[in-house]
Amino acid sequence: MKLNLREHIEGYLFISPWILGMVLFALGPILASFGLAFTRWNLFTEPEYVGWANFQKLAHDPLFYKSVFNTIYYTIFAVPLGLVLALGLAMLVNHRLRGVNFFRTAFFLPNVVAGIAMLLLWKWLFDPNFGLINLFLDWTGLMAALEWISIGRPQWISSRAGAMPGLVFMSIWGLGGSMMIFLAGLQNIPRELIEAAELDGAGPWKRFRYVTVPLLTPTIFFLTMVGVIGSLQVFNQAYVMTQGGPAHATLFYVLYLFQTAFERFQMGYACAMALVLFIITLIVSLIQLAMGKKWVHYQ
Amino acid sequence: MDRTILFYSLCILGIVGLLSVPTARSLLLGLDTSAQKESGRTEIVLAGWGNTQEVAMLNQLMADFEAGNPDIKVKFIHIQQNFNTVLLTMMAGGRSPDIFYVAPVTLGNMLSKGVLLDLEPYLEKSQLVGVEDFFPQTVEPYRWDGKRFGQGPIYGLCKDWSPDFLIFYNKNLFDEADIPHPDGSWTREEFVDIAQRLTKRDEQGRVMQFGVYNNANPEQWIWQSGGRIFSADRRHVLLESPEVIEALQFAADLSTRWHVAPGYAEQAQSPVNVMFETGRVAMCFYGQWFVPQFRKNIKSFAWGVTTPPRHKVDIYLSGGMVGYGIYAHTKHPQEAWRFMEYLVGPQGQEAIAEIGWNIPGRRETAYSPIFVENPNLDAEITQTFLKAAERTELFHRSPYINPAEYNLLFNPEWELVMLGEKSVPEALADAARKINQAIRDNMALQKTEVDG
Repeated sequence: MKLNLREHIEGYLFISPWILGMVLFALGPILASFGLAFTRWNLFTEPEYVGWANFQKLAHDPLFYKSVFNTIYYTIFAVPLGLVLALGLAMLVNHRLRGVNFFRTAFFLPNVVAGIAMLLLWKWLFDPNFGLINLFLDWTGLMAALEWISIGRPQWISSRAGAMPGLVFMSIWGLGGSMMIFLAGLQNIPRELIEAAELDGAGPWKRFRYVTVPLLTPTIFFLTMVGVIGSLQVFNQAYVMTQGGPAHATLFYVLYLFQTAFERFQMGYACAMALVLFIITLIVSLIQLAMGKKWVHYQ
Repeated sequence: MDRTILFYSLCILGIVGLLSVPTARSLLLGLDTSAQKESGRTEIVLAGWGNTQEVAMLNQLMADFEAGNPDIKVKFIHIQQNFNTVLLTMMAGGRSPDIFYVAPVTLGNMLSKGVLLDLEPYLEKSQLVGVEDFFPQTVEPYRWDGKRFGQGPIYGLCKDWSPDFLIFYNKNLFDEADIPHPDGSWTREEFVDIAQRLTKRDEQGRVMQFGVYNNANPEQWIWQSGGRIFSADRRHVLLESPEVIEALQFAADLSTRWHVAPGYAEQAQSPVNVMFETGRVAMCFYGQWFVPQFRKNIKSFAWGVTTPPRHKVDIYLSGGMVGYGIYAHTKHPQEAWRFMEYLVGPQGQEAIAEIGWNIPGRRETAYSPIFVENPNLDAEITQTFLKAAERTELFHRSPYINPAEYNLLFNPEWELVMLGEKSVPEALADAARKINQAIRDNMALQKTEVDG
């Protein structure tokens, strides 16, 4: 698979709006933040060079570790859960059925609902006493089951134990985007291959396992990469719904970074955090790329 | 072939990127200065927040001012959210407004950054405005000599203020429970007893109606107990003092012991004002500035205002005062002062009184018929507020820690108290340790001289 010059130029032209925006508005600050990571700076006085002091401080900051733990916890649960459910949904709406477009739209709809309004709505859903989620558990008798196995009434984002599972659960809401990409991937699979497998006597599970999944691996790979990078930067949920609470239970890395930079005005320290996040993201992505060579099949 | 193209593309991108930063910067700054000298008039920029009514009033005031001062053009920048952060970021970016709202809560932080102009020289020459025109409590927080509040240069003047934690109560719910309307003579014990009688549960034990929503700032309880959060020099927090522990224990007990106020989980439900407007909470705490909204929104029941329960010290607190300050490095201090003088002078203050909203900072205007008999307000309630105002003090924070940072350190500890996972003294001790450490770090960064 080799691209010619014309395809290269076209490719860059297509992404040029993004590149221009990135270069004009983001590149300067990004480069500056790398330098500022080695300074102490409160936005007002002149930045003062402090060498590796910020990184040494970071190594002894319990909230840094807490936020790294929270972010990894979220990533480990939210990304696979989202992938599996999005693939399931995509396969459901991949059938040629009457009204399937309605369901495709319905599943995608949450993605176009304005972010902050949606988060406030979820705050209501999570209310331990009157929220729809717990009321649903009440009506279906699941609450009794939870109480029987002595978990008790979930307090969701109002408790330290329930806050993270709550936010992971909430992440399902936005999987319409992944569903659409899976759907495109599914429709790219040549029907002949499936039919050939069928003729060879492969049942639905084997067709899924040995034809669909291998041919979907580029899509799965893409969504995993994007999903992991997105999860490492999760911010809005915690900023709007919990402010990182209760008691740091939902203090994500980027939220902590934001608070350090724009609420405590420790810009140098925050830049050091950004640099660390950049390196973590880079390493995780490189590992994924290396591993991807082993399991991703390009046609 | 492929790699070469990629390499050259990246090189070009890199160069464009490096060039674009200074270009964009000079472009922006160039545009900025050209706007300043438009048609020979000096442009003065005021930054603030406020509802549509207040913005309309400001626009009117600005037009009136421009008519009388043809050499000055005034512009209003409306920053409704995260005002302090946005303002400080604008200053850091070299694009500060000339005049901006300054609240005592954020004042200390502004002082530490040296961004406020000393108004004393301007006040001395002013024919229109004198410090003695204002409620003295509103002047005290704006004076700071580098060590103590209340003395030294003056960095701001009050726009409007109010005791912010008087009790708004639902008269119908009091009547239903057969409780006489409060006259402010109650003790904390009587208050809790009444709140208990006003708290109603359904058969599952869920609270359907709370006696009180404790949205009073902790400072209200603390000052009434005779305590303070900050030491006089603002270099320590006194969260471990018996007075503060007693006050915050009371505040916590309302939720965790007597269950008459929403607990941590229940606070997520609705904003306080909505819970009050819908009769789901019988009492809550607000300032004069909330009266017009309740008058507009509440049609189904009668409500009144009274003072919070008495305790050791007979005092009310204000946290929401707003005033004006001038940017220390403004290019046009004279013009900025002329506009500010107009805003805090009789005309500007009467305009605020006319909206019928918060208490004007000028005493004479506050007691004038324009405010006292304002049809947007309830004359009886206004009297309650004005009477309480005479016994109201303003709490202000420290130049060495901004309120957002304080909250970041305090709130997680308080959340543990509200969840019942930590005792009040333990949580306050841990919060004190963290906040005092942050103050020391900040002072080191600001290179504050530590005496003794």
